[in-house]
Amino acid sequence: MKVRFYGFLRDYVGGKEFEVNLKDGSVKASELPEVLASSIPGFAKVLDLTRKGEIDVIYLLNGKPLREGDIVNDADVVDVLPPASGG
Amino acid sequence: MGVKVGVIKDDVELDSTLKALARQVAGKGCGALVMFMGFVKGVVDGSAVKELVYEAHESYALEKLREIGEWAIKEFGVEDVVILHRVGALRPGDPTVYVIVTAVTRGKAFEAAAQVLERVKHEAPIYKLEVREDGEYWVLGDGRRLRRGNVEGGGAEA
Repeated sequence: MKVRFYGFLRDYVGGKEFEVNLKDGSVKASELPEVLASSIPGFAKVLDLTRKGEIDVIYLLNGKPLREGDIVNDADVVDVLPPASGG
Repeated sequence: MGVKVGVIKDDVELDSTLKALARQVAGKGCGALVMFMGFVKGVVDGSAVKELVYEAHESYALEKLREIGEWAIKEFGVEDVVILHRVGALRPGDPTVYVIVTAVTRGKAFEAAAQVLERVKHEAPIYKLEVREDGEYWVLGDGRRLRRGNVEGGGAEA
């Protein structure tokens, strides 16, 4: 699975794009944050901040918002977006 | 026209754009056009800004901008909503975002433009890095700033 980060999240994880191999070839949407935290250095800190309510992140699965029942596969692209700051 | 959105690199030629839009909607009974243009500040917190670097998740940004434009037409009964957001490295005084609304009356146009801008700032996946003489700052949606050196390595300072 390809994982891409945007904005300040890149500084936390130390990069723009990562390739993560899923153990069983897929993962449930609800398990995705923990999989990212165990695979990508720095993402555990991001997850910690989201759980404390200090930041929100949005996950996109192949360009669309990740939904609760989605299954993420090895061939998919996941984007992790920080809070918007346009204007 | 209805809704027009864009994530763009270049500046917009305003005079011809606004006049063309007014001509298009005059025959529909419209008599009001409101435009908001945001631009890069030259000084923030007493420090000179060198540039503001914008990036977007382009496909999702276009989807969100269109959703906001369609919402505004339905919610306020305006004729057209144009939302154009720039990306790339911009310097003080450079335009960053354009919101243009046409309507029958000015009240609706002003209200719709203001609400559209608020939603764009809080919902469109667009991000900015402020490069100042005293360092680099990620700008968050609510105006908070994270100093870049403190973000790297897991720390962050508002």
